[in-house]
Amino acid sequence: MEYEVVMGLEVHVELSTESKLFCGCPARFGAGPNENVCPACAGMPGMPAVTNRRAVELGIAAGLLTGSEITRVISFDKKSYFYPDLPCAYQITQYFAPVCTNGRVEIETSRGKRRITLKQIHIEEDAGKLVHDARAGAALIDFNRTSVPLIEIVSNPDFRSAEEVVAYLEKLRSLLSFAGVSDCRMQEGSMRCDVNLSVRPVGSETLGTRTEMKNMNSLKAIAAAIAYESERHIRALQTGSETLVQETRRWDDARGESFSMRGKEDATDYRYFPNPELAPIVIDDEWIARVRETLPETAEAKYTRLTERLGLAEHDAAQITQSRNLSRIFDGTTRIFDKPRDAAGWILVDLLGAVRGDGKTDDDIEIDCEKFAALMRLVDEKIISRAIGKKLLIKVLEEDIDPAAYAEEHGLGLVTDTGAIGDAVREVLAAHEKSVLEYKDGNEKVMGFLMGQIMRRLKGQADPEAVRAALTAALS
Amino acid sequence: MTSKPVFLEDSILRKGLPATAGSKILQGFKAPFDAAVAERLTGAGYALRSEPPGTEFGIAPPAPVPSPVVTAVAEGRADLALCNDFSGAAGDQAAALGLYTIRPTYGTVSRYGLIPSVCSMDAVSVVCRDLRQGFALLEVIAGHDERDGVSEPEPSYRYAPSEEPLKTAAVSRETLPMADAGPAVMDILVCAELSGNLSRYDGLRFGYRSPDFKGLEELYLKTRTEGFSPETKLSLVVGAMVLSEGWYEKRYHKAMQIRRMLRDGIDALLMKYDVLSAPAWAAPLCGLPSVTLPGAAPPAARLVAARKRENALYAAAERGGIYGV
Repeated sequence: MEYEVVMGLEVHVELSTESKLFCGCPARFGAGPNENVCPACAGMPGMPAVTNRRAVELGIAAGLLTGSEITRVISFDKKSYFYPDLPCAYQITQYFAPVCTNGRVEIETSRGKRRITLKQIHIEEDAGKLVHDARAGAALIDFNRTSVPLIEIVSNPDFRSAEEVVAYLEKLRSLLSFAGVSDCRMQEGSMRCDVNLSVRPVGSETLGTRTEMKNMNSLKAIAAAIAYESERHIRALQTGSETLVQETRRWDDARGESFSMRGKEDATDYRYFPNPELAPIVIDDEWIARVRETLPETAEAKYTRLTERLGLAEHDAAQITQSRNLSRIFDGTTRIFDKPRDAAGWILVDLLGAVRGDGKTDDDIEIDCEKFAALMRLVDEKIISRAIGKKLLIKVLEEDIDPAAYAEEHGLGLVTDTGAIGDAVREVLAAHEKSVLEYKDGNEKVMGFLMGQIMRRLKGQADPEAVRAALTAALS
Repeated sequence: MTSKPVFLEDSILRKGLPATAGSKILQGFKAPFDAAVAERLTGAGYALRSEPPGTEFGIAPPAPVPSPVVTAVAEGRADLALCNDFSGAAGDQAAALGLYTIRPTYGTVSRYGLIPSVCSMDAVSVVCRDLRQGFALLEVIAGHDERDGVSEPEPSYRYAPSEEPLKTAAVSRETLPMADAGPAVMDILVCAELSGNLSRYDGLRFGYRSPDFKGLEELYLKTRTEGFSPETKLSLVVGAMVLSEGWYEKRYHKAMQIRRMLRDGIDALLMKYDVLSAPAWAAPLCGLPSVTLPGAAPPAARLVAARKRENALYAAAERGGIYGV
């Protein structure tokens, strides 16, 4: 019998707000343990929760980006359970009136375009973090993440393959990070994904027993977990090797297996009820319009603009639009340097090449776009050579130099003086007589080697075209 | 202004001072900051004294014990006291001791720094012998506070009986549909909200922790078993029950629906009358201001007015004093 896998996703995304959802503590990642904590997010009594309106705005933005309906009167509810990382023993979430409903995300897979529909997007606070200290034999609690605002994006069971899941997560990441809703970094936990999975015979309309998988920290882990879990389900259905139960399972990436965390029979009753401490918030047309105005061009619209109007290769446009930071650098430099294809080359080849060794991701690169554009222009106008340009790029990155002033100061201007070039050509040919003979025997590859030697002698400052012309003349 | 200190229940936080809310569960807990109310009073030059409330988190035991802050006013050690009279129980005690209790409109006095019991009803209320002193104190503590999510927008309020002359001297009796359900609705909502607000006392971060436990589960169980009184535990059990699956619709949700009906009914009556003499649940369930008049019998006579019409209450209470209503 043929089986099909049916999946629905719950994606948690930390919102890029300055402060937490219900208190004034900083929401940023990376502070020392319990540095971003106040009496409110430590669960002490007496500090009323006050909703961070910026978080609501980012929730609205997420809704607009996914074509969702925006709820006009939203409220917050308490979800109760005891756990050390939850200081109030309730999480403030949106159970009864989530900020968005009925959205959609278009994805592209090897089998064509597909539409994933969303049940809802709701805003909620994150929990803290437990760190198990083996030496002390104790669990330590870090409340920095407590009450950091999240949105949970709940899809309908529309997924049929791991490829669709990965495409969807990449699409969400691109949409949300572009609009500044979240930085969506899976490795830092600012984007987390739970997969609800079941298996049924192809053609069947009813859903099979569903398991929920947690703790996948990368797209690779998600794909591996889906492969493992669907195989386990199919094997169980085919051979009766085990009875599937509705449960939550934890993915162990190192072992490549999922393990049961808790079953349905001990499912917690979360006792949701409206939080009377927080007045409902009205979202009117005007507010939605204001949020809409702040949304940047979507990655999709940008891709079309880059390929169709600016003439970028599809591969280059895709690479730039996948990263919010590369897009920012592209826009920032082309605003000054009006040759988009050249700019794309500088960014994707030279800039990425220069930082590749540092283990930085595309989103970590920091560069002054004006200086980068000035550098592109210096090369384009043949004031400096491309080779010198590459060296200056590293100086711009590392020391934030002004390229024009630096080139002038250090005498790095392009050598176009035919006398100096002619001298260099003669010297190199004299020193490499063997290569000259090889060339005359028809080995054209030697040309490149000789070019390199001459350029090196001219400290990379010469105009390659002038050098090539002089070299060709000298060889013939 | 009074020369004697104003007595505050210690559920109104004062930085560095013990804040017990009358409960063992908060043993050793010292307030990390000043409540808005305490800030304002200190700023206005009032001397303050804190006392634990008479009952744990204001949850009334079967035989009500007067709150020490109410006793202080009754015995003349103070002219004014502040307590969180979310249920009206403190008002009854004060009335029995010959004192007024002024409960302001919900959202006009900041809850910043008030240990929460029942968020939708919590109200810092003034206990006084003299109405003028009481309303003068309320004027100091009322006004917008951005640190409270349900704070009303007005920066300040002025209270004087002459501001709102009463429309009519007519007195009549009205009936309100569903009024009989009032006490049960109160009970359900109070227990539900308490069960949420009191969950944070788990022995992990502050307050009481059971000295002897094995593992997390036992830490929770023993701490909360030893830290709360039987009345409180009963409320928490009832609260958890009315919110649990299967009961939510039948109890909590139903209570919320009736609360809305009661509020609509009372609001309609308050379009017709300046002031109502109403049962104890009316002010907390509807967020209305009330003045409890001094008098021997519980339940005390309780006047309520429309939201932010404290001055109508002030005028009526003064007249009530004259005519001995």
